[in-house]
Amino acid sequence: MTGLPVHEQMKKSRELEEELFHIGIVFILLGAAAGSVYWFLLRGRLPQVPCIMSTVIGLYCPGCGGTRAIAALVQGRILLSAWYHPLIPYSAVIMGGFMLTQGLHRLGIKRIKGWKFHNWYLYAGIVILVINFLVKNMLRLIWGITM
Amino acid sequence: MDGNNFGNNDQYTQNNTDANGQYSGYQNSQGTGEQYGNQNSQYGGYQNSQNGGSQSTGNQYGSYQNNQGAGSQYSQNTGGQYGSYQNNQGAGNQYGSYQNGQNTAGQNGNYQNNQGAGGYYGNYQDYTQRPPYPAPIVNNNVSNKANGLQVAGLICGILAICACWCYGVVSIILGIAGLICAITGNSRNKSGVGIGALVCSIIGLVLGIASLIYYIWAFQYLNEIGYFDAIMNELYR
Repeated sequence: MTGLPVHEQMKKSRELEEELFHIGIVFILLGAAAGSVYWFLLRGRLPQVPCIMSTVIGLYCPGCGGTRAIAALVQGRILLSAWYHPLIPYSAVIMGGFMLTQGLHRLGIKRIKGWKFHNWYLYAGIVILVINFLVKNMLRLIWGITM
Repeated sequence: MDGNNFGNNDQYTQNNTDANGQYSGYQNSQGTGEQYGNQNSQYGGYQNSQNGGSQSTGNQYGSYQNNQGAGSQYSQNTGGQYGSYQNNQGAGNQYGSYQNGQNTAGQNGNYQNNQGAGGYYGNYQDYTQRPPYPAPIVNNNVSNKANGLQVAGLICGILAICACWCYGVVSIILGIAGLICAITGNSRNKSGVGIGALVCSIIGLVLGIASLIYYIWAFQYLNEIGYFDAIMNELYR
């Protein structure tokens, strides 16, 4: 967007955040629907098969610990959740903060400024994912420390 | 060339008054049509030219210094290709004056202290009398910033990679959703986030399909050996 006038950049930024907010709403609705289907229909019916990567290859997959991290976060145990999978509390803060502030701003509370989206949110998430994957597997392979 | 240094078509002469010559006077040229002369010559006067060579039109190169002519390379010419080098007041040069020029409608503007108008390239210094450069052409319709669909596609792709352990089903759903978002977003504009979304979604989709195939094979194998019922009984007893 280099070269655009300032007001054009601000307009495009507002358009992006509005679009992301709407997409976030769709994600929340789909997630709620999927969670409801699992909770009311599939819970207890699916076998608890361990992670394919962990059992076959002997390495943690990039998502290993995610379910436990979500459960710990719901229970309010943030540090434990960060230990299981740091991407979960990070995503909860970034996405939750964005959706909450943008939603309140759109509801008419103009005193609350909606968070602006920055690309580094995504890049930081990818970095956290890769570092978690490497560190967890190093701990497991070198020192035998498991989750 | 008629054998006369001051005649038509002379080369490297001085004080030429010719027309259509190849070179005009080197100093104090007043000729026309020489290389450093005026009308239709290749080069205009070199120094202190006030002659037709520096003042002519249609020359390729104007005078070098202190020209007041028109149509020469470094001069004050009109419709010439290159303007004057110093202290020019020409018009219509392709390249404007180097210093103190006053070109008008030239293709390339002055270098310093020029007062010309309509030059293709503006002044290098002292932009007090004319705008230095034409405004850069910016296409406002093209943006490199990621749009919402690309961001959503990247998030779906990352989650698809993370969720490949979940029987592959979740990963496949997220991978397809991310792929659709990435393709749709990339059709609107290109950005690094869009490419990342495409790559992550494809990786997540492949991992999800591989995981699903593995689980199907594993369940069938466990069922064949009768171990699957034992696991289910152990889990849900």
